[in-house]
Amino acid sequence: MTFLQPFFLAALAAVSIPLLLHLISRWQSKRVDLGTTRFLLEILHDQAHRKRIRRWLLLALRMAMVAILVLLFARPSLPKTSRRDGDRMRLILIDRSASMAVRSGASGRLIDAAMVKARESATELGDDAKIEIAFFDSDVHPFQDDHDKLETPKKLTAGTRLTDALRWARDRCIANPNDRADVIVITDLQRSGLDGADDIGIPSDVQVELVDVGREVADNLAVLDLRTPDGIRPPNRSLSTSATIFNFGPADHVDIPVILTARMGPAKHYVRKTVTVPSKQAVDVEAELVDLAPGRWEITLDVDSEDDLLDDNRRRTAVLVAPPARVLVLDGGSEGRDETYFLRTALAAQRVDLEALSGRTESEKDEDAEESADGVRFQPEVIYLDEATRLPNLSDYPLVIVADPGEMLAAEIESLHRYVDDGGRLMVFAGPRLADSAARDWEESGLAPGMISKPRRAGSVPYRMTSWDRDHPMLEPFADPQHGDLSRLAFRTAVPVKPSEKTLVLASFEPSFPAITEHNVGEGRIVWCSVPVTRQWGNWTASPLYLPIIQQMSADLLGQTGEGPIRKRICGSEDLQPQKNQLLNATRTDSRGPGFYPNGTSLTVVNLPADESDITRMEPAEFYDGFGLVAPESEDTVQQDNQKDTVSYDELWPWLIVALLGLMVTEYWVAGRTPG
Amino acid sequence: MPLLGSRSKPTTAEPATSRSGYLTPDELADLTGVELRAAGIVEGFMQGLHRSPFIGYSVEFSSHRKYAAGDDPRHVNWKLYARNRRLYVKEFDAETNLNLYLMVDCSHSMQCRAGSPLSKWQYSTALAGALSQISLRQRDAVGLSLLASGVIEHLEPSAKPGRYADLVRLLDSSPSPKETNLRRSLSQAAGLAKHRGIVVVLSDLMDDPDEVLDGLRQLRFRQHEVVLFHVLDPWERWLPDPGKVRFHDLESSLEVTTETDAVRDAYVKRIDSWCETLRGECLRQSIDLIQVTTDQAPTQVLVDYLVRRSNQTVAG
Repeated sequence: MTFLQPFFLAALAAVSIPLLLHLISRWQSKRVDLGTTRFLLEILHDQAHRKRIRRWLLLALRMAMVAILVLLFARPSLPKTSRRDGDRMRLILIDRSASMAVRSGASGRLIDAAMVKARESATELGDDAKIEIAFFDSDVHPFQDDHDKLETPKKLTAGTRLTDALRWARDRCIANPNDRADVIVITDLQRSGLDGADDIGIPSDVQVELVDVGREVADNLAVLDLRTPDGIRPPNRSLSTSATIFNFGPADHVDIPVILTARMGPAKHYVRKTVTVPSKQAVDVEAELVDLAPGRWEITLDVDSEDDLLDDNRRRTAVLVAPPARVLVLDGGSEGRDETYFLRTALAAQRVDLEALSGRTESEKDEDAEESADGVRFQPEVIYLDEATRLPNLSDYPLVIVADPGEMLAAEIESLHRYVDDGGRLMVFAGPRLADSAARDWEESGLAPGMISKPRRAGSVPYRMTSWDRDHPMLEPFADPQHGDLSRLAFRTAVPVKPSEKTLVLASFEPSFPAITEHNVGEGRIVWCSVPVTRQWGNWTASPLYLPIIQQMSADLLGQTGEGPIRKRICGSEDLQPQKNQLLNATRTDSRGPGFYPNGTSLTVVNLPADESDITRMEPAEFYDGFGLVAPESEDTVQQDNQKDTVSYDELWPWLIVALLGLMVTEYWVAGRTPG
Repeated sequence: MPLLGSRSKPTTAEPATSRSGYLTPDELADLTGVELRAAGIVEGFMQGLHRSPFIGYSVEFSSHRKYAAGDDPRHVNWKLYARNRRLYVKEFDAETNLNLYLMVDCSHSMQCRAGSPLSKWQYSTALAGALSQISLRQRDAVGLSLLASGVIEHLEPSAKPGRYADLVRLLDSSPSPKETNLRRSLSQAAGLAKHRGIVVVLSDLMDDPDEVLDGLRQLRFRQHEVVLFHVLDPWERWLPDPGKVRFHDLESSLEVTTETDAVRDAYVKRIDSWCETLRGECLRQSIDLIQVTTDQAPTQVLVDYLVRRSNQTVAG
């Protein structure tokens, strides 16, 4: 224990005051002459023992009270645990982003130099210090083993996120408040690491030292992007690709060979070109691949250049080449009384990019529809139920559309059920001829979304879609009303359906009146629409939205919406949950390295993050300022060092107050029971 | 039942105020000498007698007295006995010229003057002076003995003129020997009181109770009627004031310091026990015990005693 104001201890002499008062009080007592003190002595003798104890106790209490009062002024305290070398903690952050693969010197890479620095830092403080190591790229990866088992990471593929790394260090400091901590950040000072920089909140007495293993000047020629048209490409047609190549180095790259390769199994296509890329500039390279057979093609662009970072000299993509999907349209009428003309026309049209058409007038959209079209995806084939004796082999069609379910016989409905159960896709548009008996057949087959009611006419206000699932891949393009407002579609009549528990309502006229539903039967899926495909109950066939919505519904059933069969990722942490509006965005991450990863009918294409190719460096001052850190070897740091040596104290005055109060109460009680 | 000296400070016989006409101890203290004080007491006593419902009784002591061992049974008032079962002996006029033996304790403890303007000695000598004056007026012989470790001064009973002056002179002498031995003193005094009479002892009895009682028995053995004035200072009786007090023993010079509040209850209880013991023994030995404190008006004490004595006689 120590005293913050020890000079007050001189007042301990006041402890003698109760003693003096005790003596003075004896001297100042009143004198009375008695004829005899015999009786008094008898009394006092009986009380003598108790009285003696109480007197001493009283004296001791009073002296203790004075002593405590003096101590209060002297402020006794207990020092907090002082920091010693044995309580040191060092946090080492090692950059293992893709840019750390840059060559360093004659051999090795930046990561190798970083590992050497890390080992030096880990052993510098001796065996008593606590060492915690973490690798970081776009995420933080704490190293759980002893630092002497530190090994160079094999995979350097992800981006750089210094913010998360420094937050990890901050949290470790806070979790160990009694340790004298410092942080070593070993990195190549890539500027992209500043993204998202903010005041981290590392305790001010924690020194953060930056170990720069980067190269002041490095040469890097990188393929930043490789693009192909979206969607399924028709076979035997040329495929245009384009790539962006950036020269981050100080010197121009002249006549650099560029090779575009497309592979599908044993089949290969090559396109060779040369490019010249000036220093600090980008060049777009275009190439065409011709006569690609139907199938899934893996496409790679390589830049043949011996620069300092080779991993970004290659970029990957993939494309699915397939003929338009065969779609069987079951028309309830006859060739002369065609009910599915508009449907077939919409299916046969080329793909419309809604976003490209946004902001334009209706007439402009109509005029430009063909210009912005992006290939025919569907090949509709119609069967007129009035004329057909039996249905064709449904398994030949990936998608079957029923235009008027009221015209279907029970046996035909049963065939459809088998088709869907085996994995087929079915789209049904309710029609005016959906009588009670037909509706029961559909319900009993399980192909109906629920209980079907008779068609219901709208009142003076037509039925409009008031809500739809904007996150569903089928309707995601209509999430932004600028791209198409489904509520503009109006219907005079619709067929109410009470959806079963397994039915998913995708769009509704009213909360309890579904417009579009989907449900599964066996291996297949069914989309049910409560209005006919014709304009019988609403003139929606004339709306610009008719074509895209028919195509979206069909494409969704065929798995062509959302990401589709080809998923594009960049190296990083495993991103299991898609972010909103990121279905068509290639910024989702994958923890695997760059490459092609087939998975059944889908293919995942993983590339390096493009920003890792930019090896532009930041200044150390930018690092410290960006994250709100104090650079070492400044006056503040010196002051922090001094502060580390400052011992803080736990003062004991609250306990002394309690003790003093207790003594006062006790003294009062004893004094009242003690004869003088 | 004692006239005074109950456990609590008496309320019925407090020092007389000027309203009653009796001199208070403060007023007596202003009078110098035994003679003046005794005169003041006697004057008040006479007035008190006149106001007393027992007017008609003379200054004599009662015409009856209690039966003592050895009295002639022919003189017993059997009617009185039949009434209240107590034996009283008639005294004829001729017998009322009695001897009054005054025995005053002059030991150092009698100098105590803590709670009253009069010390016990002054109070006792004033009472003795008053009693002697009263007795001498009715031509009773009065003797005086001063008691301490023994009888240190003695005057044989006499009714001659000048006797009062002798008594006053002796009472004014204020001897204060340190030692006290009441047993020896009373025993010696008993031996000196050859003729039967009334022995009035004025003492604080600050001696061994057994020895005191033994001494008193000596007096009774000689057929004397014994009246015992047990005189105490208020401090000795009640420790009236609070606070830290250093008590000084007048005889042993021992000092004891204590908080009166802390010991008062136990002390008063002890004194009560002592007084009760004395009362019991005096009752057994047919000794009239009057327990007084020096803050009470002596005149009132005498009047109250006489009234009580007269009541006993009337009741007898």
